[in-house]
Amino acid sequence: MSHHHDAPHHGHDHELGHVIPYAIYRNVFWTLVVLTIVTVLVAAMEISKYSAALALVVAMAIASVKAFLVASYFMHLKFESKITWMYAFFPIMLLGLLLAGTFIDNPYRVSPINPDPAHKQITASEHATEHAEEHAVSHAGH
Amino acid sequence: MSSSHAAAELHDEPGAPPHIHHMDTPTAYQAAKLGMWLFLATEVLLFGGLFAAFAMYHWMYNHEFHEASRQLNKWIGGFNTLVLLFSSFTAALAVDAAQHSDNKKVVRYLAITIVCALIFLGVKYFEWSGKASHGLFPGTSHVSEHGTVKFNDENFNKEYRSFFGLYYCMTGLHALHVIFGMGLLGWVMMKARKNRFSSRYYTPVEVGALYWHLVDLIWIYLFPLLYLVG
Repeated sequence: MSHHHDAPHHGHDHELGHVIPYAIYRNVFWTLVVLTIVTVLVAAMEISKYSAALALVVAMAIASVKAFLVASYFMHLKFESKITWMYAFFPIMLLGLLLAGTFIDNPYRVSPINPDPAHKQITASEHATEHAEEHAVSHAGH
Repeated sequence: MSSSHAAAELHDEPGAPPHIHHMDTPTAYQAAKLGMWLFLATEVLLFGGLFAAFAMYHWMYNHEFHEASRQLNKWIGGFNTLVLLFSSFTAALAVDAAQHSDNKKVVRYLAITIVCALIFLGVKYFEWSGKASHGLFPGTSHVSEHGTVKFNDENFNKEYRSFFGLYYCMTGLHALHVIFGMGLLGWVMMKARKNRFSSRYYTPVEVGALYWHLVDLIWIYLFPLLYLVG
């Protein structure tokens, strides 16, 4: 295992890990602040009214850029060994599998509001009016 | 990395700080860090299960989740995000100070980090108690009349509450991590007060900071999912 990297050292011959100049920490922090303000402002614009998918993609993309910056610089992942990279990416890949499985499974799942899978998704509010009488009956029974 | 090379380096340091009780070889330092990364991997999967549950219920009750999400104040959530990002910044600076053998700065930066954690938890407490006072508990059967939204329809309330069930679970588990991180960083701070760290030994500072950054990373995803997108 090696702790010597391509990036130049900063005058610390006996350093254990990588020393990063203060300016990089500061710039990363202000970038994170700007991205947080941007994501709140984008949400305040209510683009989800026009496209919920677009709002989700934009919010998650901004979050992922922030996560990348924190991991790369604050957590020094950029300067870590390959094996550390593997430790960091394995859970993300497993999480991706779990989420992908969930999303693939969802449209075919029989749920209280989706009694007809792989077909038209009935919204809960429609369902509420359709089955309001049923619920009234079941609650009167208790 | 040969150990003889590292051992040779440990002797010729005339101006070394007086209170060095311990030195880590690069191998020990790398191994400790790798151990923390392995633990962080399990943490990602722990929260990953909740993220998958959120994705599924969000798909099932899309409209209700969006309405329920609007009950959360995105400006307060955004403020708390900035507080946590700043605490991550100061945690990174604490590691940097340790790398420069400046124990006083390590104490100062970790103290700022812990104060930020307290602010975060304080804001979270007011958010939780505010929601609870409106009857927005996980799994309650009654929504208070004083709530800003009165969804009297039984069926609607059920799905609306499934959002708050996940909200309390995810932010609650995250808050537990904040509390644990405060304890961990407090312990590291006590060691720094005794001048335990130097450029040749700062493993607890770095490993503690790694844990704290993960707490920040998880919030980076929780905030837009719960407060912004819904």
